[in-house]
Amino acid sequence: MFFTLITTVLAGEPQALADLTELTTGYGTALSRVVNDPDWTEESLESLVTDPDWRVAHQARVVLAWRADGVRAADHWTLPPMPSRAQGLARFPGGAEAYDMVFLDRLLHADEPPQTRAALIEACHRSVFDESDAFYELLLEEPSALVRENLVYSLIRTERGLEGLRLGLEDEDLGVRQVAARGVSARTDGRLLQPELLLALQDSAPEVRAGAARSLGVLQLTATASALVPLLQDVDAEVRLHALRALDRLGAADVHAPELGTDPDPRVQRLSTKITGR
Amino acid sequence: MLLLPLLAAGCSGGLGNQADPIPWEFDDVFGIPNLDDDNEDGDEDWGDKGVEGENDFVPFSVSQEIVDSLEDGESIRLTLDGDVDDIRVWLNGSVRLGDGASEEGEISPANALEFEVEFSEFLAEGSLTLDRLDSEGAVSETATVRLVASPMLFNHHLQSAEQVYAIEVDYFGYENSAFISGYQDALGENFTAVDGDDYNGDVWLQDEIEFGYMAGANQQHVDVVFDTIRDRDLDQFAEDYFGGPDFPVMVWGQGGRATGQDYGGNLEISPPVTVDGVDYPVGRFYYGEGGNFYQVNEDVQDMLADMKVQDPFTLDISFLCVGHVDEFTSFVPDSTSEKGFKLLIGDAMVGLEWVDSIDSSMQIPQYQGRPHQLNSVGQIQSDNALRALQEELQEDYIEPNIEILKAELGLTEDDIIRIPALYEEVQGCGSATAALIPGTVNLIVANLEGETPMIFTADPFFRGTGETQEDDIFIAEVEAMLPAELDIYWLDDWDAYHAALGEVHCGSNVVRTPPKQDWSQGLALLGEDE
Repeated sequence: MFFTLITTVLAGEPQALADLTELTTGYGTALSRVVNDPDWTEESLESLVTDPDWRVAHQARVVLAWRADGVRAADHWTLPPMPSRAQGLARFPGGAEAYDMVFLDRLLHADEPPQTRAALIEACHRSVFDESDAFYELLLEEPSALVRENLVYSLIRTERGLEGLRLGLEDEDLGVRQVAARGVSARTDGRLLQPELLLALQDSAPEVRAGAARSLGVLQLTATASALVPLLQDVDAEVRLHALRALDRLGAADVHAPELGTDPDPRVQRLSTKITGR
Repeated sequence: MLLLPLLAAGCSGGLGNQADPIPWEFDDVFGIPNLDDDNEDGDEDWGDKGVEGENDFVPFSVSQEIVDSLEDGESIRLTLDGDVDDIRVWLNGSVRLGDGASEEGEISPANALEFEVEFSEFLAEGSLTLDRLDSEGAVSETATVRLVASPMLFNHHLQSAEQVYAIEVDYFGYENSAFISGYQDALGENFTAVDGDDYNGDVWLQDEIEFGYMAGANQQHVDVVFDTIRDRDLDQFAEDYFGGPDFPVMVWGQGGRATGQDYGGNLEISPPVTVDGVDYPVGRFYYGEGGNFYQVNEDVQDMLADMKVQDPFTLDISFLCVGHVDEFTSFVPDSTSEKGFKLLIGDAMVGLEWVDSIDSSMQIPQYQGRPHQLNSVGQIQSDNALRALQEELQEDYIEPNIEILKAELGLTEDDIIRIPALYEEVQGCGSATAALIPGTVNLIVANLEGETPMIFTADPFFRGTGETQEDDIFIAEVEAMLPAELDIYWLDDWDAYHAALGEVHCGSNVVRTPPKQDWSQGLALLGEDE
């Protein structure tokens, strides 16, 4: 249906580009038609790269990129990820920033394994373009937890960050929730997610409890101190550590620190000693 | 024990000597296990039992002077004890004692005895007792010689560099020409650029292998490649470039079961140190571990512990995404210091303090793109989460690791240079971190014999558009901190290494000359009396 729409409505119509972005099959052929359609002038495409609809802006950039240098765009479409130094973590160490929209296009249209998709997100993350709308929409539908984790991470410092973090905190996967719980601390408006963070203190996964405690401390949400106190007895040392440090950042650790002076975890013990000895 | 004649006919007694008695004393034997392949038949030479080109036996003599001191009818009885199946004592091309022969023999030599001792494995140990027997067969004098094979030893940064290696890649969107040419310009023929096409573009040469050696008396040594069980695309590199005579390739651990901690960048060695009166003449081994799933393979741990002389200890690397000790520690030569070296630490709080000292309006365009997305110094300064992270890492990991290093290596704060570093959480790695400013301490020491020591480390790109390394304020800061005797080369490792979670050390490796210090000075570390 979209294919018909593009061939008939097409030139100069922003909606045609938005529809092209949403194509699930036959994308390559449809893109090729637009790239080669003289009715889509450079001027009309340039005028759409700042369109408020991310799909229109993205597709305009993609078409311009393929027109400017089809070989280079094709190279970016087929560029394989390389293993990073970390075990099991891939990266796109090269690639030109100006062609990031092709990486995003791969995320939207290519059927690639989660490892590659995760690496593509990291590669897009360098972009001079704002991909946060695209990332947010991908996050809503992405089946792979690994990819969702990377999407949430990439959204943290963007305009859609709060929404992305909120989704991340509600995710079924603990890795995604952990990234979200810690990531809230990086936003100056993170306090708007205080209710979600308080809920995350009760999460079944210690990584999430620890991350939420940490964010509450970094964000200086002093009213949450009482909610942190029970975490000092958590079975997980990472949670106790971050709860104690968060209380310290909130100026509320002094009365609680001594009881952790003999904690089995040396980090907790050190922090307790430091606070007590102040 | 069997009693067999070592030499039969043709051996008459000595002339005897009534002058000053010749001391019945013999030097201990420190040798190297015969694990290389001098005849290049694909097998370890010990299994071949004598090969053409063999050069791994260690000589042991009964001098002409001693032989001449024997009276008529006197003889020498030799008895081998200990790891007799892992030691061979050769004489005139035949095994006379040990594996495949007897454990005792008697001889009445006319001429000096030029034995050769061969060992099968690291730290094989035995004793050779030489009894002087009178004409009645009674023992008149006795001496025991200790026979010890070298442990597996690993190179430290004070040993002279011979050859530096790195992998050259030049694909679309993935190339390291500046990195390679930086090495070539500085090192010339002492640098080898390995064709990355042969290894599918795997640039992490530090992680695939670790160079070491085994050493005997009189500077006898054999270089060794520890081919780790990382086994990624560089797996064949060790066999392609080394192996064969005098450079065996050895593996510990089970392939296919490697963790990131089994990589060579996590296996490092300090320079020689003395700790609480105990000498470690060839340094100490250290590696990182980080909980249940972040451990060095047990076989490797056991091997390192068994070798004893570089008595290993561990650091906590659980805060790092890659999880290697080379990400935040290194050693550089410093001939002006008492110990001859400085320990470098990538210090997060020093990094934060340094950043805070900079004009917040300073633009750092290199950091605008991947992987950091930072536009200015002010953005770092005002990022409370990033600041909090530095404080946490310093308090929970870096300082405790420094305390471990001080205790295990007998260091004081004067022995340490705290290099400014910033860490950030890494996409796809949970809460674990990697270097934000390219890791300076993740460096290569290339101290060619007789030349000024060279340091190769990552260009921090802490400068504005159009500015050069001469304008870089981070470079200026660090160069002022490092020993003046070092020539420092700042290599562009940004795309191929830094953005892929590694730095200069990770992407390079160095063959070094075994140290002048004799490991046997540390015999006490074997747990027995010298």
